[in-house]
Amino acid sequence: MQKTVALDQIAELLRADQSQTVNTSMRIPVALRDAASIATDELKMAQSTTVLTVEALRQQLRSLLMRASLDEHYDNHPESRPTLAELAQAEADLSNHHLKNQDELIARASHDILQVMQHPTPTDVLIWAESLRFYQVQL
Amino acid sequence: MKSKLLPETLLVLDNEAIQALSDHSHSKHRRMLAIVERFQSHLQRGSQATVTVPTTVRVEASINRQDPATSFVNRIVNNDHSLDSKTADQAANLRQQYPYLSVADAHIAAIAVVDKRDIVIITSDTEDFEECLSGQNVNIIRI
Repeated sequence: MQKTVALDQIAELLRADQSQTVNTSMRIPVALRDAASIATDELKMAQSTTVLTVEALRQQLRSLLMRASLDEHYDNHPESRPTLAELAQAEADLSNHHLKNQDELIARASHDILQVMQHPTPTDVLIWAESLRFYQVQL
Repeated sequence: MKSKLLPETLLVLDNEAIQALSDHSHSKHRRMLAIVERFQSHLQRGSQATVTVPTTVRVEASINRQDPATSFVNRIVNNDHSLDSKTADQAANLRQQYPYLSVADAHIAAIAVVDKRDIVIITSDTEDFEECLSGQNVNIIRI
């Protein structure tokens, strides 16, 4: 199966009716099963081990599908890959961080941090931007 | 800083957001991908946030999921939000109160009022949503 066809099929199945169920046997570590049992039976943190497993599987599949789709998209359209500053801004916006909508400060922080650090993350940029703002206020 | 979106968070895309995501030549395509990138990063770290597009928005944006050209969007956007009776009533009330809202925008605003999850709206009309949802705990993000 071609990768792109497989990704489309996963997307379709994740959107499909989830009410039909099937029994399946799955080999999992005993300790993991016991930990899940305590979480569900003793602490009531989840309805059942099955619910825990299904939700975790669904979330992982959604995450993997999104990652693979983005990577394939960048292969086809390299110019669409976001910059570090754009990723940091998106992180601030999604997290409702107090640097939300602070494009210029984040762009400056992104430029600066790349001079001194290899492979900084968007979170590193936000910390740098906070530091810049802190010292701006002090001066 | 929050390390991740709250588990029960719903990201709602408006017309321009879904168009920007689906069209790689759109001026805000990269901005949308940056948001999707960070969203994916939150998912990877265990967030159970969901991204949705209201069905009325899909109509306004002419997004037909059966069209092969929407393959990329179909992989990113988990599900449609259909306009049920309760949400339609709320949307109608909002349009009466804020006549500038389109049907699709009223649908989005109604989701923010009716849905119990934390709501994040991705939109180019931040002012409109800020006004009509001023009493709601909603994160409104400009694309």
